[in-house]
Amino acid sequence: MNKIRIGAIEAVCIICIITLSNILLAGPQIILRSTGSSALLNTFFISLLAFIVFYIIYLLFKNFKNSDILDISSFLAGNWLKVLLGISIILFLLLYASTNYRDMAENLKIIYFQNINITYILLLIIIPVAIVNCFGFNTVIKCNLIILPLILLTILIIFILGMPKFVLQNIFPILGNGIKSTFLTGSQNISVFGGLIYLFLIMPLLKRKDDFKKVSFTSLAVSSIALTLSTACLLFILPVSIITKESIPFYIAIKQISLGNFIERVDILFLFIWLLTIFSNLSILISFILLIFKKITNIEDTKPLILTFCSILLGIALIYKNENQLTLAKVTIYKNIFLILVLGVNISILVLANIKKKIKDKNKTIAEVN
Amino acid sequence: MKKTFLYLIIAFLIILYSLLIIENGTSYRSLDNYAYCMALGFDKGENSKFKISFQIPINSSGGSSSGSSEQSTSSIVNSVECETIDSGINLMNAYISQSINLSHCKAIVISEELANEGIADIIYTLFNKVEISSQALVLISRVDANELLNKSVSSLETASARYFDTSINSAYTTGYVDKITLSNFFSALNDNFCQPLASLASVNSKNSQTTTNSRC
Repeated sequence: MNKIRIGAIEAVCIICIITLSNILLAGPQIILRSTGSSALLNTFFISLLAFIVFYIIYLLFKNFKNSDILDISSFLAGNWLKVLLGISIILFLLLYASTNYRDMAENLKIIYFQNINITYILLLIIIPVAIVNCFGFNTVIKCNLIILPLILLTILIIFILGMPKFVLQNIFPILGNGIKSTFLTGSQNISVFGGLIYLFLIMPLLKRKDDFKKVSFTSLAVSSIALTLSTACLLFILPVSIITKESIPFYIAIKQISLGNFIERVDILFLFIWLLTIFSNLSILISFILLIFKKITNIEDTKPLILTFCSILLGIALIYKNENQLTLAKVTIYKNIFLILVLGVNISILVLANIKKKIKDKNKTIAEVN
Repeated sequence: MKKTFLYLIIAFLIILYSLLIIENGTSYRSLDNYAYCMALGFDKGENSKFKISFQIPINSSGGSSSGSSEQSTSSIVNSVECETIDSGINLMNAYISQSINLSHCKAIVISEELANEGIADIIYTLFNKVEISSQALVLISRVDANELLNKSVSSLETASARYFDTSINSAYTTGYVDKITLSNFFSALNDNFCQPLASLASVNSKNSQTTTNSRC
């Protein structure tokens, strides 16, 4: 992690890509399932919550300018906590990404490749990811710089083109499934901002440490806008009852977009962008897993491990037998693990480390005075 | 430099291998193997649940365009009786020895008799088909859908593929009809603040010409 340096824009791209791939695949659907027609309200609410969380993380990282969460855990309780946390993060990242990975493959199978075994579609996605990672972390980052503006532009174009199809009555009832599901249990939907976890790992990679605040808030703002636009698009085009029942509601909403008699079937373009997003997402994931693994095991060269982690990801993606298991894993299990690991454990480590640092500094000052 | 070249070769071989796997996994079809269906018609079957009619255009190589009787042979309408839409498509594939492709389907005509029994399952099945465009018109026919498709000719439009596109244009100038697409109908079916609507179509029997025109 010591030799790689990335700029602020590249860091923003990393965090945004992860959140955007969640948004394009299932983010708005997860929000709409739990909140109903109050999805937009909930989106604003979780964006606000995310801002608060990001600010707390920024404040807690102020005293550890050149460290990530692994270094901080090592400072707090020694190497064992660093290794334990590193393994937990790697496992969580693999499990969480496997749902997006398998979801994408299933969607491709439903839409285009009905007669092909799912394993081949999964291989089709993972092989370019492995190849890109062979060229190094910088290559992955630079590819992202090209892909992210395309994704943002696509979301904007879909929103604008879909406006003639909007049915504004879909926003009623305004509180959807109730205040409790919109604001209390709905706050769990903050897990849509999956890029949060990379915020804990990105600090030592930044060229200028002062950019951390700019990076975190810019990426959050971009992700919030994209989430709002895509949720609005989905909510206003399709009825809520369809969004909760269908497996790819975003694709179905986009299928309905047309411009006059000559521009139809924009969903094909969207599918291309979707594929690019998942490639980006998985490339960043494997890169970061390699960085974390290098840190906890102190090995020099991680290139031989690229195929290992790609195979593990493929294996986990093959575990799910059907769509129901995938949805259960994504909506229930991993959402809760995200909340516990990212918001619970990581922030607790940061808080305790800050307290320890303060006590140490205080003792140092007393010792110096004496 | 050598390593980069080696990686590029490996990448190329892997991609080639992946393409070969996918190539074997799908059947390779050209345009000649597809029969593009312009319109679908649904009637109540005599021996089965549905009688599905497929209006398929015929490529005419001749240039003569005199007489409306030659325009009526620019498409054929074939019907099958079946229990489900997918089994109907399979039967038609076997009958015409080509694969029915619904990606250019411009109209879905449902007879009034069948519509009275409820068409939610037809609409759901069609909407979930990736091939069918959600901009296809939904029409309810007073006569049999088969008859409507057979007698649907336009004196102004020569290309049968464009007939259903232009036939509903009067929706923009008069208030007699509305352009209801599959997506509109499907949304209205599931919305809790409105009911689904569709335009009513029939064959004009009062016309004294040899070929009859259909009006919506």
